[in-house]
Amino acid sequence: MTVLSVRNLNIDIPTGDGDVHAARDVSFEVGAQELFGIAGESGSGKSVLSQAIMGLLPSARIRGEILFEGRDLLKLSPRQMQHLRGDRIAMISQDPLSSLHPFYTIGQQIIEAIRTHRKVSSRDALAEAIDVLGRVGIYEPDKRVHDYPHQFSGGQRQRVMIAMAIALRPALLIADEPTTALDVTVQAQIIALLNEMRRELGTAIIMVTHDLELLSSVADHAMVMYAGNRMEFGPGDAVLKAPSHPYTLGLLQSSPNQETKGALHSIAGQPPSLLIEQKGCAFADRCPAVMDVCRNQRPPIRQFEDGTHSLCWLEEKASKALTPAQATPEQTYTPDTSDIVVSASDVRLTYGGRSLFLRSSGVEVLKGVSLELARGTTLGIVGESGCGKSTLARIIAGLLPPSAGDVAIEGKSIIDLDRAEWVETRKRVQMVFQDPFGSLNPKRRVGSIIGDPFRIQNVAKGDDRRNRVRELMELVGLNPEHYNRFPSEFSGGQRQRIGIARALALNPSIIIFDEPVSALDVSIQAQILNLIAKLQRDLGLSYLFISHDLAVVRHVSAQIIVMKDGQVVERGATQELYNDPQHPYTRELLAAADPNYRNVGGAPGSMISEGTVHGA
Amino acid sequence: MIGFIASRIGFACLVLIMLSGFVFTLFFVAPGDPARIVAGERATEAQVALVRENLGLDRPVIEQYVSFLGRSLRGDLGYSYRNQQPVLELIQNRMPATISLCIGAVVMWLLMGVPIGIMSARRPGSLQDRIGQGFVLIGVSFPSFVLGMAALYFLYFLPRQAGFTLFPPGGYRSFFDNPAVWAWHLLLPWFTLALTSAAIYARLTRGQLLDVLGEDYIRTARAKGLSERKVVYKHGVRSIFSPLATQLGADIAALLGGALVTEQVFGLQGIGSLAVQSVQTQDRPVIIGVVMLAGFFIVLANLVVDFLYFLLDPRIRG
Repeated sequence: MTVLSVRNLNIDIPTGDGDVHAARDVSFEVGAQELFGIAGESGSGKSVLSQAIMGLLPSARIRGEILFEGRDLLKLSPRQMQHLRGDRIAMISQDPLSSLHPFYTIGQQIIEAIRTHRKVSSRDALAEAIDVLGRVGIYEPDKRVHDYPHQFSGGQRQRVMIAMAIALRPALLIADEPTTALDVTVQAQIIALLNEMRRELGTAIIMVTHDLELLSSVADHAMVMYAGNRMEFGPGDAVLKAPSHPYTLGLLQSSPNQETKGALHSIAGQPPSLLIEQKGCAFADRCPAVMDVCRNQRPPIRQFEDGTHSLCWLEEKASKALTPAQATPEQTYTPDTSDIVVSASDVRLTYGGRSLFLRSSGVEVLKGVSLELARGTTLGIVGESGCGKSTLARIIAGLLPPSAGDVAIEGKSIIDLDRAEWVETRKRVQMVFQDPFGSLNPKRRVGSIIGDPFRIQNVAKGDDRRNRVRELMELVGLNPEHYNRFPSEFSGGQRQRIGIARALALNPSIIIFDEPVSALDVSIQAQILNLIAKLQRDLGLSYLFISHDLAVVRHVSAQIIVMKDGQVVERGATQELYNDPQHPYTRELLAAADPNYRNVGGAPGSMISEGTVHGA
Repeated sequence: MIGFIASRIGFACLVLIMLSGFVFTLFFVAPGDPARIVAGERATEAQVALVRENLGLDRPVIEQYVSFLGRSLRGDLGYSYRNQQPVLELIQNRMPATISLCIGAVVMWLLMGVPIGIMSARRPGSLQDRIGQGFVLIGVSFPSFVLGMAALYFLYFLPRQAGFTLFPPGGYRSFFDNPAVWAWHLLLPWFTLALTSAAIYARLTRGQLLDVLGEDYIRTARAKGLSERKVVYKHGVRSIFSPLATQLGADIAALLGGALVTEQVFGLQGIGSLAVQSVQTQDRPVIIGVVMLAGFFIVLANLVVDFLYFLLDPRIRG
């Protein structure tokens, strides 16, 4: 039975710069109990699509049909839509940390959802809230129902969101990036929970995500979107195993996995602006199989035997038509591993413990971490949020003094340096940060941001500085002519290049990358990872690479340490660690990140495993 | 929790003691001989010396300060140089006018400012938002003495010339004698004080609420199928109580320390006019008393706001 049928949907959103063409001629159907996946990178229109279904795009011009249980949602009055929302169509969103109201208890929020649509007493509603919290795996729901959102961990909050969404047994649940903000082990639990709920309650689920692999492992049908277009559509496993659109193929090849070594295949260029009406294929400019016809005429929808549809001029599936991307042969690059450039021994850090009038015991963030980084190699640091990996990075960079322990850069301790020595250390160690949007001052020109280290260290002036900055921009693949632009004029990937250029300015020997690609889309991520690898080969740099993403860390690192609760639980050469993990936590991490593993629904018992309670 | 409050109160006391020390020294290093002022222009040296001894001004400054602190703790803030009245009594006589002015003005500006801010934030860029923003611009642009004078001219002077009394020119009548007369006398000063602040609160409410309405939990509330009214008031406005309380605490404290301009314009015998008079006559004990009072209210307001945070935000409750 079809629950939702979207036909020829076009969405235009008026903005100050003109109309954003957020969706173009998108059609799909979702059946009862089905898990339908929508994949795409940022700006592909996938979230706009889900909000259009919810009727939460008041200013947009929407053409086409959204048939839900036989009624066209676009023809309903705002009041009628309001009655459907939360009752028949529910939504859970990306960030469970910010999606619950911080000032009301979770019970109040679930009860509010129930009583908005059903005439029940608050006592019955409370009983129902407790029941549904129990279903989603909240331990002792009768007690926790009176707690506030901040008293739950991220994974638990997403469970609460799911509880609130399914409390009224909606026919359709839209999950917009439900696991993106969560740690890998928790991600697997949430996916398993969603899977269980749809079987139990018969709810159809639309899952919106940027993670194609995740999607294809759980979705019955999947749709890949790009610049507002439905590029590919078909059964989930078919889309992953034999993609029919060149874009899908490119995305899959861009993701690092067990087989990838050396340079990653990357999709060149940037996604097109949605302000411009597309004439031909939206992907034409980045497509490896582009033909003349692609640029001028809108491609037809091709159907293939395995049920996949592709919006493409290619007559064959891309996976057949295109020769598989040549894995660049791994460069023979064997650094001398005996030269240790960074060594940390028994680094400890305790926060708090003293104020003007009060005294408390303080929080131990790092409990004795030791590591060694050999020249020219990459040491990966993996762990979930709160394990202390970023704090460790800041200590090694000298931005934060440890409570105890020692850090030596190229044999010289960086603890208790005087001002001059500290400035000197900055020339040896640099950092690249996670958020390419937040870590560049929006009011300063790119040239002066990259030139800052020269200015601060008094190395180069005037034309000399300008030339050096231009060289750096070229080195990281930016156009030197953009010297005078502001950060807002660059895309996320380009901004991360700016961050890398700034880090390279003083010819450091060590760069610490703190989640450098986690805010980037897959195709852009591959470009940046390739750049990082190339710079290491060319300049002989040593990297500390911090990430929660196991696939990325595996791809870039020779050695890996796994952290949990401020301690190192396992360390070793990458291959050995992945093939033969010793610590149970490492095994848990690996299992959670493997899509095949997700398929079977997570480890037995992991469903009820509860995260630690924050802030209690 | 108890530790938190205790540490806050301890800190508040420390601030007050430092303030008293600062004001005290300021007046004793300042030029001018208080004994001569008290004794009068034509007093002989002997008379001045006698006055100095009586006031204890011949003792070392530290000793005077310590005895001042000791007496303050017992509620004795000294005597006015001008008419020998106890400072505490002077302040007590002036408090009703200032408190009345403060309460009415606060109620009035909240009733004007917050709804205008909410109205603006619900539809940014719309006509109602522009009207609200226009009000803000006008409100913050007028200094209160101009507003006060204008109010007096149009609502007292012109009707008076036409032969009837719409509003009185000022003065304070006790609330307990006749609440209606009390309010009638205070309406113009309330309005004068409230208009500027209402504009500031409208702007604050609009900005804070716009931020909140962009939050993910507001989308969650809409996705639940709540009516727009519930989304805005129950989920949106609830979240801006804390910033409003912060601003309100500071503003009320400042007002209780005396609304200098408004009290002068409307001839209200409140703390503000007491401060002006005591400065003009170099009446040091009164000046010190008024400054300490203002300091006390500010410290108290901060304590109350901290406590309100605690009540309003479960995240701080832990």
